[in-house]
Amino acid sequence: MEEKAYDLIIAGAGPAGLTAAVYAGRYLLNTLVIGEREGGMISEASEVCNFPSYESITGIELAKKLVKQVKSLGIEIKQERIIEIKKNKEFEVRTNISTYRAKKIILATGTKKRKLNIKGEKEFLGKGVSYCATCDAAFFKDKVVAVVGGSDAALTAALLLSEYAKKVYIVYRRERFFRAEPTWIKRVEENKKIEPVFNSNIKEIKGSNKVESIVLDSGEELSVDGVFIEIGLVSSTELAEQLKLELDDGYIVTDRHQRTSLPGVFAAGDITNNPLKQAITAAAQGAVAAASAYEEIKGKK
Amino acid sequence: MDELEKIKKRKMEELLKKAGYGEMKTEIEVDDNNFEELVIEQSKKIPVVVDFWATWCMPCLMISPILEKLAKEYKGKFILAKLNVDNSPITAGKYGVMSIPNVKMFKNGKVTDEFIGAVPEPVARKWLDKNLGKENSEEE
Repeated sequence: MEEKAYDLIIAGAGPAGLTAAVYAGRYLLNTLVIGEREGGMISEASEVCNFPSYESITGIELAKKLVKQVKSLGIEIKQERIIEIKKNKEFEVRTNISTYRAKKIILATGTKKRKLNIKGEKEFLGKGVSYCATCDAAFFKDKVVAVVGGSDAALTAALLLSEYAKKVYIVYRRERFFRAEPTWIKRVEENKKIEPVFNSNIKEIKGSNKVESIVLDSGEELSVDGVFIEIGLVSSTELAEQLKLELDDGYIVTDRHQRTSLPGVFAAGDITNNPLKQAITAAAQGAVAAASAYEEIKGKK
Repeated sequence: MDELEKIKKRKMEELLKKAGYGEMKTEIEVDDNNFEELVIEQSKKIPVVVDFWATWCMPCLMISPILEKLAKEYKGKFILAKLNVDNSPITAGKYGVMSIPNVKMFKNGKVTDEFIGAVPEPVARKWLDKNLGKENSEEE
């Protein structure tokens, strides 16, 4: 297979990866971005109100502008899936399509929605199982639904669903909501349609053609028409694990220069153990990562 | 020379129109009222890919432009029919749509395959190739 050589390969096409690409482009590094989804997870945000210079912008608009900016610098974004990154003399990046070489790597593959991994979850996707309350709430008018989780995302999903459904259970493994914002907790408590079910996990989702019930670990079975899974995010660390990078609770550990524990590999955005997972912090880390990679490449020349 | 090209083009268009290809669009909007005619009936002649979407659904806004691009590229291999579930609840209900984006392949009046969620372009392309027959995509 023909190998193409770059100065820098950026894995991930969200705000972190794309900002890194903008900086790398300005530094005239021969750069390639590899990301399955142009724009990344921010594209799914219905409204972004905390990205400086935009009072309010949809996630997809922000993503499109970023993609356009990167492409205007002559940088290619390949919509491929990275299977393996190997460090020899340089780095070898193997995707589902091709193999590329690079002097430096920036990992910016972010997070994905955590799954329950229980019986029925996969089978009933689109038949009552959903990971997007804003998308699907309207299909559950006068129905009974369950939200799984106890974070802000879970509570806001329950509140939105209560506008359509006649009953909303919130199944949560803890004895109370302590991770969510007090404002949301108060609104959930005041909502007569919402019934929290604490100290419980879902064991199975049952039904024939579509979701009909959920089985809890207590053995109790609740009749529901829909299950909304909001149990948080999980970092996409397959590549980090391959490279044996130091991790902190599943997230990549970096220093102030966004260097990871492996020389030549940088990380930026939600995949790192940064304290604030936002587009703006991801972008900032992407910028630093690109600058650090540039310094190292320049130093060698 | 220019004039000759123009005549050629016009003749070609006339011929295509005669053969019934003239008004063929790659992308149409459908609703509860015309679904039977534009999707069910039409799918007996050419595969129809229905994109069930809504304005409030961000992943729908991600997959729609990908499908629109592919519909243009695969011109004549299938028709993309966009159905706003907000305006057409009867059809969405009839086909058991409970999660969007939901993209269904209609052939001979029936759903033969579907996918849910915003998938990356290569995945959507693969899905089309699988459903339209690989030889179709290689004719291009």
